[in-house]
Amino acid sequence: MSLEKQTQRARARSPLGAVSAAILARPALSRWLLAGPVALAAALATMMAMPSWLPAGRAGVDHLAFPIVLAPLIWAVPFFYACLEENLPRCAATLVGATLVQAIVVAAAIMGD
Amino acid sequence: MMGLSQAQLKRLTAIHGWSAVVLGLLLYAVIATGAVAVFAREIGRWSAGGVRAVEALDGRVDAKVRRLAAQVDPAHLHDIGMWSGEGDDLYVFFHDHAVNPETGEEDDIGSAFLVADDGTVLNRRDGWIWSEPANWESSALRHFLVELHVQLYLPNPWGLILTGVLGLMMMAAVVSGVLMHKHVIRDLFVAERPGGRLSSVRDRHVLSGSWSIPFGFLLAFTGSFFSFASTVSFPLVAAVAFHGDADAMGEALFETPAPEDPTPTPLASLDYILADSARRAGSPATYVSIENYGRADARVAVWHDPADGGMLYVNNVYDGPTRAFLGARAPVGVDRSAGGVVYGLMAPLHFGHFAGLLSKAVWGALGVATCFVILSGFRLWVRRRADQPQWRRFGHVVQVVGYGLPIGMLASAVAFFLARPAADPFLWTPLGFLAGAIVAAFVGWREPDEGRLGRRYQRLMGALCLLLPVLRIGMGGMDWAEAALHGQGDALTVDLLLLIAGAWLWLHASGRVATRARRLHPEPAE
Repeated sequence: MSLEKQTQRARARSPLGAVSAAILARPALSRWLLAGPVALAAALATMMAMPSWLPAGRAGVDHLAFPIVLAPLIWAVPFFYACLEENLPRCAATLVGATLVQAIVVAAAIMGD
Repeated sequence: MMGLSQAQLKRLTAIHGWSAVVLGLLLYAVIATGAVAVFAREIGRWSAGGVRAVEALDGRVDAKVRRLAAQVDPAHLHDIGMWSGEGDDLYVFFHDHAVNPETGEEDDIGSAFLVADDGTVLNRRDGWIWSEPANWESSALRHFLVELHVQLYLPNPWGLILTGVLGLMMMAAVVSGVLMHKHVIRDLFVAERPGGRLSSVRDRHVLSGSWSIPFGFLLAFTGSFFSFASTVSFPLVAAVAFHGDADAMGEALFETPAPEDPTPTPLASLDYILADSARRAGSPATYVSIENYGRADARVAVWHDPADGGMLYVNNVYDGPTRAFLGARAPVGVDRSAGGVVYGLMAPLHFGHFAGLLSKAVWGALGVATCFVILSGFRLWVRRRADQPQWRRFGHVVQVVGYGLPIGMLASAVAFFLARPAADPFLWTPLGFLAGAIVAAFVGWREPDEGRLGRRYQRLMGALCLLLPVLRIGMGGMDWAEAALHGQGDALTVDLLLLIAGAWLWLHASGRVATRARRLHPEPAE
């Protein structure tokens, strides 16, 4: 689907349509933001949330060790997704959504104790 | 590869190329110094080592520790660390933990001794030991080269964050490179097309890059793990899992809980414990830690490099008063686990010492090959833009940095040997690097021709390589007769390698080593 058609369809659905249209209006900037700070935020939020949802394992430390060890890969996944996804609004929705979910888990973990 | 669209391929090419252009020279510095740092132990022995029949931790340690323990503040018996120096000397650090008023962070405070094999105290430092490398490191050269690799000799935490970012960039370059190429397997066997054309330059980059894929990814991943672990990952995970208490998280990961019992009780024989641990581990001890010396709840932990056939460090724990073997501790946690194994593999896979000198040699060679990947990539980039003056100037800068970094490292070694007898080698070694880099930059500024400049740099590098063994021996280092008599292979080997490298570089620059004739033809970019 061409960029113009994507923009038209996005504008037709609001309020998210307005956001999608804004993303599609500046595809290069959007891509930079998604692959840069948004991917970084997704990675950091995931790393901080992992101790809450990863099993602790036999020694009771897997939920601590894995986010620390896998930190580079945890960044690489959203980065390359943002680089390769052709549908920018879907990319934004996925990354921002995942970040928000992880952030909610982190907030619950911090406030719950 | 993977049925990617033109737009996706274009983006990957941009990531691959532009990330290298912006950060590639810094990444080259990290990788080149890393290839050298693989041999940090050998460099330490070569630069500052004396005759050593056995490692200090293999010898008699118990009497030394007991005598020194009587000379320190009893509060500093809370924690003792021991490691070998570069000869038959031993470092023993008695310390406790307190907040350092200069940094506002918890730190180790106590007394650090450098002890000779006969028990003579060669040096004693008191206070916040880790603030000055001279307190705990014998070889300023080894320290400088490792620091240059780990954090580009920048202040903590910025240097670590920068090298971490470079590791991520390298990972992105490897992954984008794999995704971009349609025939990765075929590219493993591509033959460079003759004639020095643009396609030939591309072939060299593709061939070297293809073979470096697994190693490049592994080193980028483990390297960025190390850089970010203390600066980003630990604090973030601790913020959630331990309410920001990094010490509590450290205890959960790395310490074995033991019931407290401050009853004064003498420690069992350390010599027995170390001998038993070495027998169990199948390799000599590299570090010893004693907690609560002189108490009933004392614990002795002995670290060993991976044994033959193993990949993980060995950490044997003993009950201090009874010398009972309490078991081999997992890398993290109190029991073996998947997370612990993965965590424990990071260091051997990054440092390359899991199979002794053989794996180190392979890691070093792959590091040099990765440097070639970066430099050939720059060459390809510049050749594709040969009609633009600013990119031709960039190509000249790449050549200056490409040669300037190893020249700087060799110059730092010269400065180290000159300073060692009577000056502060920890000051002069990095200054020597700076001087070498400035000389290389000046030579590059004066000589615009790529071919002549390359030969000048090779002669300079060759001269420095030939000078170093002479300087080392001349400034009081172990001579070849002494090294051969006492079986000290490190110094001899490094000297010989330097002489061979120096001779080859000099002969190559003089045109006496045959190379394929290569004439550069201007070609439109492919």
